[in-house]
Amino acid sequence: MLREKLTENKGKNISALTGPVTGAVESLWTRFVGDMGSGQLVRYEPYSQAYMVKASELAFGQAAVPKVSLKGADLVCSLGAQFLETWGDVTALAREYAELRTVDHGKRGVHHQFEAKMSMTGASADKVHHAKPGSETLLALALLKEVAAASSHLSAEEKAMVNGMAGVSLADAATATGLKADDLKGVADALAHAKSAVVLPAEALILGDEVIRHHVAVLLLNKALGGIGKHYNYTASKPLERVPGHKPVLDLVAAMNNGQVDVLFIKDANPAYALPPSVGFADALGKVGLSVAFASNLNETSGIADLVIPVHHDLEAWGQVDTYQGLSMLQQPVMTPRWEMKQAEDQLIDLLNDVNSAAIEGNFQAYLKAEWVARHGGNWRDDLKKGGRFEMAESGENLSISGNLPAGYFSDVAAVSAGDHPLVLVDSARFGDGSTANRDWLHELPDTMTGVAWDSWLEVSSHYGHEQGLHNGDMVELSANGQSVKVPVFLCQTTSDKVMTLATGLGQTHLAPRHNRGVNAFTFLNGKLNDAELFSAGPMNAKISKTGEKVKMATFHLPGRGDQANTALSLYEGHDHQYTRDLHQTVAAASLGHGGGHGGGGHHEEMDPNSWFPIHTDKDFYPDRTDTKVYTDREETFYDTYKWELAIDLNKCTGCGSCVTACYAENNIPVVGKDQIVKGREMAWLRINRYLAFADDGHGGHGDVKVGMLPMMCQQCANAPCESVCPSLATYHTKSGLNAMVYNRCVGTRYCSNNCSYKVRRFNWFSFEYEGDQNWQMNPEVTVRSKGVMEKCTFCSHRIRVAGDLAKDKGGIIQDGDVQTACQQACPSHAITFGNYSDKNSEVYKVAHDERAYRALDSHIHTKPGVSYLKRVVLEEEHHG
Amino acid sequence: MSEQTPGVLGIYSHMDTLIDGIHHFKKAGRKKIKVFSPAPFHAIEEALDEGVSPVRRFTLIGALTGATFGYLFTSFTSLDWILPTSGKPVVSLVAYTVIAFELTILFGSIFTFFGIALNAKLFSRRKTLYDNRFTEDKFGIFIPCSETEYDSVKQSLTEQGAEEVRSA
Amino acid sequence: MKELNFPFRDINRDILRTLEKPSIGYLVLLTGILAGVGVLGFCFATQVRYGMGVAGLNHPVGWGVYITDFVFWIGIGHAGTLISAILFLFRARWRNAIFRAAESMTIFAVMTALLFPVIHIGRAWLFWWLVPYPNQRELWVNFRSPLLWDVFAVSTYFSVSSIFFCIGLIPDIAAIRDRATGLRKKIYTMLSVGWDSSSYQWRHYMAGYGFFAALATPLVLSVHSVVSWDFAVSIVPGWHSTIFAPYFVAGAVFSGMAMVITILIPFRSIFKLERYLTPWHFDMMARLVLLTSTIVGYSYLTEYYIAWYSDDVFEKFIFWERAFGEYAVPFWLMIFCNVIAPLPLWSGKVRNNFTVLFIITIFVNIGMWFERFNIIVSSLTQEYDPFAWGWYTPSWVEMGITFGSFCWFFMWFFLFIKFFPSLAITEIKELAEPPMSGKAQKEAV
Repeated sequence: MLREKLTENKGKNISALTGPVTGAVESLWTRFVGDMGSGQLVRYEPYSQAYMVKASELAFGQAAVPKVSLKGADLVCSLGAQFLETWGDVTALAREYAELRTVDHGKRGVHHQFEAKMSMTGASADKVHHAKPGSETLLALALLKEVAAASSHLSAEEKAMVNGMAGVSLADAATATGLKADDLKGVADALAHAKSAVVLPAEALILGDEVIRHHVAVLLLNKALGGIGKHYNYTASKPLERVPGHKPVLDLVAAMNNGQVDVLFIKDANPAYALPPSVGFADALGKVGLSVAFASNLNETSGIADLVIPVHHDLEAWGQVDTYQGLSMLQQPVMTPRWEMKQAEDQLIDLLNDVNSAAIEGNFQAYLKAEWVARHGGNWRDDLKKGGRFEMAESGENLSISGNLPAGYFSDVAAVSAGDHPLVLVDSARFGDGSTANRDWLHELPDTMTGVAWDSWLEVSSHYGHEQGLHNGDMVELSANGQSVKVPVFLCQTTSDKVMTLATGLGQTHLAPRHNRGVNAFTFLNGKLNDAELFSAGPMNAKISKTGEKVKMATFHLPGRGDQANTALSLYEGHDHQYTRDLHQTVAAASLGHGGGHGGGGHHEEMDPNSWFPIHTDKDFYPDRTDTKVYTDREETFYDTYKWELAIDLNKCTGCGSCVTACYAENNIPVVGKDQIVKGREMAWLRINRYLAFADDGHGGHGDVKVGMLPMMCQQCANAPCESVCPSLATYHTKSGLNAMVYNRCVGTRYCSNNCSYKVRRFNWFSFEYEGDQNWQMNPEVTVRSKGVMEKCTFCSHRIRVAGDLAKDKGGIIQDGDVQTACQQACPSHAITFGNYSDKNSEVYKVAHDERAYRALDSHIHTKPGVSYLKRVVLEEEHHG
Repeated sequence: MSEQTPGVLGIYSHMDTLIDGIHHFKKAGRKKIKVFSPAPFHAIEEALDEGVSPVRRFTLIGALTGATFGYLFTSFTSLDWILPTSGKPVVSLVAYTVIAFELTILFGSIFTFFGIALNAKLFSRRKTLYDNRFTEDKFGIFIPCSETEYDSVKQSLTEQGAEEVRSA
Repeated sequence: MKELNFPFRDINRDILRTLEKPSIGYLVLLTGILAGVGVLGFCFATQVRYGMGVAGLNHPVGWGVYITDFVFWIGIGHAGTLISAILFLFRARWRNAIFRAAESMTIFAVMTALLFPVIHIGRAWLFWWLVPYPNQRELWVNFRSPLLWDVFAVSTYFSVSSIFFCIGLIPDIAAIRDRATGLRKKIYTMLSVGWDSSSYQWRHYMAGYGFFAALATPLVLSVHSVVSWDFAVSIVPGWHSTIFAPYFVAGAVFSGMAMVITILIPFRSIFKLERYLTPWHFDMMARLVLLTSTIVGYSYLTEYYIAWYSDDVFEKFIFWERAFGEYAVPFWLMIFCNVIAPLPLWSGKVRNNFTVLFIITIFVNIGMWFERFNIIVSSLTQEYDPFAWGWYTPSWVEMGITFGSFCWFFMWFFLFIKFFPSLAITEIKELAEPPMSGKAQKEAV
């Protein structure tokens, strides 16, 4: 039928709408529409960096997106970019950020974050400045003025140019942002005196029409700091062609509305969901002669197309992704396709060959290979094994400021005013543009800063919420920008009064029923393109009105109670502030590096005498197990070959949750859904405990809040409280230091979970059924548990076993680095170390004996856990927590 | 009612006459007289003067068996397949004391039960004369004797206050 | 005892009257009770079919209403053994009229409690894995676990109490046998295992009975201690306390006595046994209730004092939260029912007033149920890691099973009183003056 239609329409407007395809993929699609008729290839992605292209062209005459890197930086100042979760190359930035935080002789890199709502990125910052939304450009300009005046990286002409343009004083910026001028001066000074500072811009989504000017200001600021070429690399940059804006799709909608589009092919694009409602994509699609969607699952756009052709999932398909200059990545299938289908590009080739006599030889794999070899030369198989070509320039040129900037460029920059509690949209790490909302794991993973799972929420500060008489879960009618939605409210203690936020990515209508939930924040986008030809929204005047309805919010913890590090949790107002019970500990940078820090890792570590808790005396009630024979008639003793331990550097952990989801994937952990999480039955073997410590503001109230992220999993305690209480001996200690959990022996008395002081044991309250093909997702090396059985983190013992078998085949033992736990593998900051503590040369042994090392709760209950934590390094002298 | 022990049964209504009768027949040299009563009375037991019941030996042996078995069983099974828990010793005698204690009592009780059953010859058919009213309000003395002596014994019983006499 | 000095024949007749054909009221009640047992079965079947998730339990509260019920029912059982065994050793004469009913309550309470180790485990159909049986894999159980101690303690308690109970029943069954006819006679003959009320048998019987009492005494003290160690041996703040063993045993006697009184007050009126279950008996039982109430109250104070004195943050926190936190209402309800409500028992008039006594003992049982609920649940909700805290509300399945357990208990009791004498005939006769003629030559001592 499709072939008929295409033959009919041949020569007419046969267009395609795809995601931001590049390389051979783009070339095939372009060829397809070109050969078929007069149509266009339109590429669309909701979050596009096209603004950076425009700004770079204005600032340096380079129409490209620079590669931003924190390598070698000692100060990063973000004006709002959530660079550890959604902005830029988050994985690379997270790794570089972790290195930035490494302590060297009592010093480490510093991070300032300017944002109204504390994001996960801000939670890692040394200071979060709660700037009013809409003031970001003024702020950038004020900092630019200060820094440029003292900068040694600008030529005289450049200085003059900048001075002429940037006329905002710190005082003005302070007024606009609502911050103290002294604080801003402090930041400006820090920038000026840093060895290598990086300034990151604000999130484009909230800049509205100021987006280009803001980014120009930030680029100039980085130039004044000497970061161009080092931290902003224009040699390894993304050229304009690879960064589609939103004008093409808007034009396409206009063409569709005029009936000009005869056939439209859609793949990996969901404009019906992500475009502002006023654009009316869905209606326009109806006016297309024939709309065809290539899709492996339905969404708002493919769901309303005339024809849906199922195609291979990305895991089963070939592809190519070109981003930065020198970076060209190949995508190959990682599994035998589940169904006998073809991927979209193969379908295109077939259609082209059938309808159009100009044939393409072979399938898309051949096409891809031909194009690749033609472009790159070299050995195809080698490139395929590596995954592509990774030849990005390490650094770029120190470009001069171009002459493209008109003289009064910044003259009418003003703060955007949108009331006292404006609504601001935020990009969400889990759902972002909405394309991952069909994944259970991401719904189950709680949002880092609020802990909410399976829902959208309107985030307001707890102070404002209490003022308005709101409680968590109250449904409100949120009206802004001419649109209105019903959304539950969530009171957050880390958000400032100055803003209400709503995250993008949920609110779908065409996915599986359980995934159609939440609110589509894209509803609030401005209907017009901004200066960067992108859809965005600035801070909006918003009204909330109570509806009287209430929903339960699903969180892993008790909000406002379980995450309090030092507020009184009950009427019992002790004068200690240790409600984290020493679980998350910090240490001042200045006390490190010269023997000043306490610690010494190991099992019997002494506590800091400043701590409220008594020092644990090293007395062993139970015999040390290391010399115990494992079996009476064999010579093996405990830990003689391996003692598996984990070490987590809290200084590097950002709380992103990648490890949590990796654990779900690796261990076939069931996703329980919202109702069960509300009841407290989430199955996460590894969770991120987020603790909030409030500084005293001197008036009996709360000042700054500090956030501590603590990944908590089974500590594999040597004196495990859980082991001796199991009546059926379903859990015991192995000679390699693991707490073994024998699923088929467990009768489910749950005494072990009661006795676990870390509460890391998870009980299967139901047998979780996997429908249809879902069992293909399971890891075959890990069993699936039935109802009534207890489970918990096993340090990926199946991976240990496989490594052990391989080592045995080679005739040796497992070497350091042979085994990686899933969480360790997924962590972008490399915060997790795993290995054999009995091997004194192993990484984990060294980390466990770091001066920052401690073991959770060990000094109180002497469980001798197998997990070391390295205290988070803070800049001020302060107590624990 | 087979295998009846030959003898004579005298039924009494009052305990004091019963006690007199018991003393009389004991003095007369009658061994193995059986006294029936609706409830155990200390006076009757004193009059009969039969010595300490051997049931207590059963109890003692049972208790000792229980204690020993408790400790040995738990210890040997712990060593059979060593699965260490919580850093505690593999043979945790302190913990096993609880088990041994309970088994002491259990075995002691079971052995006592057997002691009673064997000594009191429970679970076996009645071999002597009996009257239904013994569980109500009547007492009785049963004197085993040969058939030839029936009449003389009946006479004695009546003299000693028995209201009825019966022979096997 | 002069008060129980009735002719033996009357004793037989009065007590065996309960075995007559049941009244309509009895049948109606029994039907209701059987329906309740049906509810128990249905709820349990739902749980086995769908999983423990149908209960209100979660992470961190792994134990809730089921374990509360388990400890509650074991506790109820303690009164019977205390009366049978301990008061026997003390030669307390007021035990004779009540101990049979109390002991039967013990057996049935333990039978009810034994339901819960099966009900509360995640894979109920594998409960037999908790029993150490020899197998080809040489796989044994964990004798260090308090739950295993429970297995031994409760099954020993059940076995020993049953044997003790049955031994005590034999002479009374013989009494029924001797008055029965037809099929009943055949059955009771079998059940009376050849008892002929002779000195040959009484001698060994009384010796053994004494040893049973001597064995059952440490048993009853140990059983609830072992059950309390389910909690005390863990490291949960609020559970980990050495006071638990005597505290729980006292609490058990407290709730058990209260239950005995609650049941016997209507029982004596319905079956017209006022002559045998006199106000004096209830006075004595009420004194025990009062004594154990003061011990329990003292234990509460001790716990709080020690928590404060220890200066341990976790300990202080959890005790504060127990009284003023999320579960404050059950806590104060418990204090009222267990400490305040029994205070009127200091007055002799109150102890002899059946109505007030009945009400007070019901409060006591409510309070004792909530005491276990408090200890178990409030300690689990807020342990070491605040991020893991969570609340607990029982679900309909759990409440259905709790209700059903009461019906199960009463079902057995109702059946018992119709087939066996609920007062100990022979022991009452022991107290009464035996018939004397006055014409004896020697004094009957």
